[in-house]
Amino acid sequence: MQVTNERVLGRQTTLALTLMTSGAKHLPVALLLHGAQRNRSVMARVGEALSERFDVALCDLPGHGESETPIDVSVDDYALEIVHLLLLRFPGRPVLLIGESIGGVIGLRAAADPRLDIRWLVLLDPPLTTAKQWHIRANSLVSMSRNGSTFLRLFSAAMFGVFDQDRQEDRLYYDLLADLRGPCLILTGDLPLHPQRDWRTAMCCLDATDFWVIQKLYADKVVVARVKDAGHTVLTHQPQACLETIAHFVGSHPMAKVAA
Amino acid sequence: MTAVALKDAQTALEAGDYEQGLGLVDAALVDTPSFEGHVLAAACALHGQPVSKVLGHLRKAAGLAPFERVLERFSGYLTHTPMTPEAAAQVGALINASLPRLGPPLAHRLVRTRRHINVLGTSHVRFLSGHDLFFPLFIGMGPDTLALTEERFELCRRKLMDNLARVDPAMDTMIVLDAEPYYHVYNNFGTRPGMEAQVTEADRELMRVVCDRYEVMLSEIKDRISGRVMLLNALPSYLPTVTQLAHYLNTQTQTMCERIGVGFIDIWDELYDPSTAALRRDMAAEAYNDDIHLSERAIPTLFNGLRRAGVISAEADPDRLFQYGYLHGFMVVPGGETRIWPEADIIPTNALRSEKVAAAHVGKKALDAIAGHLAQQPGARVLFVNAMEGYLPLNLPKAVMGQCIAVCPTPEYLEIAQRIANFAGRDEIKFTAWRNDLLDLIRGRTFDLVVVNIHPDHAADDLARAKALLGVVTAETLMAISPDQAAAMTLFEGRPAPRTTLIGNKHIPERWHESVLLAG
Repeated sequence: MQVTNERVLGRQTTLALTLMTSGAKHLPVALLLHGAQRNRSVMARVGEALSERFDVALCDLPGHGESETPIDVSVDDYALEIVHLLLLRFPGRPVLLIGESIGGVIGLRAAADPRLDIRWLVLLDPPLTTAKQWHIRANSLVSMSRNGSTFLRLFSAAMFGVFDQDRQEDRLYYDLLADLRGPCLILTGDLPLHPQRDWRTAMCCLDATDFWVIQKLYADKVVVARVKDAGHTVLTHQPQACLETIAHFVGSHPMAKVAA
Repeated sequence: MTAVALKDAQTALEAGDYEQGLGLVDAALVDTPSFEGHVLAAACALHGQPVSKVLGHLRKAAGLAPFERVLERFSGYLTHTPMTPEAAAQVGALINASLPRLGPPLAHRLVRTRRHINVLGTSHVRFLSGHDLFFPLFIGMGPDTLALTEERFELCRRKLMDNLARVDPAMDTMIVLDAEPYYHVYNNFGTRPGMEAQVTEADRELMRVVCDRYEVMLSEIKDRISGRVMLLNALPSYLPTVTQLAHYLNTQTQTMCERIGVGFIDIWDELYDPSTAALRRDMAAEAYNDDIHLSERAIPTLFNGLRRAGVISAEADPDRLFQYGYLHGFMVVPGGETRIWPEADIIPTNALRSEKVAAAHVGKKALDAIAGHLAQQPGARVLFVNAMEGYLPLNLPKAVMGQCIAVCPTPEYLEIAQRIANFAGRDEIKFTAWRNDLLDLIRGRTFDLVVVNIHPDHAADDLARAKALLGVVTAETLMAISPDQAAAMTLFEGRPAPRTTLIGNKHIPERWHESVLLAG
């Protein structure tokens, strides 16, 4: 496996990428997006595991890791950054898109764009609604108190609806599931969101309400898999189980092109 | 052309022996025209040859390969042979004329816009640009946008459908046609050879046929738009026969619209003056005597009609006006641009009076120089400051920029810029609005080119925004477009003296005469 780092001009930022390639020709691309306040290195282990079957790209989200800070922050802006990255750097290639947490929400929005050939979409415990995510709120407030950057303030407000101690708005992302054009796997753990406790436990974002909504409205598009003994960062908690589930999902949805 | 001759010519070019390079490649091109040869000849001709020779070779290369490839190869040579500003402007003009400004229609919009009403139709749509509730698309003049004959109807239908593919289908959409009574009465298409003084049964029969054609078209539109589809009633005129026929056409189309579930926006009674049996003078535009188009003064009247149809609420504010800065045009269908023509009182014959046409004219001149400059910097990062509703970035081909960020003066301009960008299929351009935290977020970035636009309506604010942004970013090259050279010069303090190019002229409104492009 060859590992290289590069910087790609995105729509409004310069994005930092790590590419993991085996040298084999005509492989599909696996693009891995990390969650909030993390960086691409957290996806390295999955990337390595996928690199025999995919040309793997780990990407720092705008404002994270080595990527440039964006000038506007929204799920739509981030999704467009991903869309144009794929159009520019991997034009016409079939893609496995894996997104962790808010990276999954961004991936979900990007996957709706028919210019892309997203064959498989894997969301790792995405926060489909945010007002109930008390642990994300607590984490965001602590981060903002430590780091008062304009970007972090905008990011918390735009993505999670967390403005400050006194103001919070709900961000609803269920409707993005309606735009799915191909198979989607949601991987989550079994560490329940409630009751409220020490927020550093990293409990899951998805709860019974989310499962009910997915089951009632999107059962034809979305498969949910719950990994034992895992929380929000399911990939870190149970990497092997996640990889096996992803491999099974990819294997059970062969490379038939998804109709636009 | 042999590979050896090409290689020798390239070597000569790289060694700075342009004349020898051109001689070699010209001789080889006599026997075998080739794409590579013509591009190389164009690069060699940049030195010591008239620019027309450069352009001639580029055009010949474009006959053998897509222009994107021509530009890519030509740009590669420009590191060895930079262009003079004069040559760059002419090459830029060729680039702008040869590369598309329209992207493919966006099947899925990732850049969202506020609720608005798409309006597609004839020149009658122009008055609606005065309010941001509407996104008015002037898809063609009356003769190209009517259903009087089968042939004209097919042309009209195609124009409508191709434009419709570019609007947000989730928004309500209003169709504005109604040129048929006028062009029929004047027999422009041979439909009324008798030119009778009164409305005849044959005239009414043709209006029924027109209504049937409308039905076909509106049904098709309904299938493509998830928002509500509406038809605006035909308007009264100053010629009694035209007004009577328009009224008759309305009676037919209203019934048809009710039958097929299309909204019929009826404002006839508010526009019709019974004392003159014609269009109310106070509602009419003033581009020419007896102008039959509506002026912006009719916007509240249309609001009333939309309220009655349940399209907007009682609270919708007809006074939330918007002032475009430019005339926009996109070649959606060959043969005539779709225009976002934001003036009711301006038509082609008095266009020289128009501030927006002047702004677009000056902007186009600047864009030629910008495109030529960018040809020398493939993949450049470009920042547009004071982009207003996006005219400058949207009129540069996508292929000449690696990244384009455009700062609009206000959220209102940003909203309109995003609507136009979505229509143009240009979501790779990042539009944003000026705001307090922007400086924090953009601080420290380096742009290959910063283009500052200074509009005479808000020159002081434009300059202040530009100075603030230039204080936090690095501009490798700075260009400023302004009708006031002295004011624009203040942007270049601490930089080498810029080169000045006059881009205004005496044929446009006076305050644009001395417009300049400063570059340095």
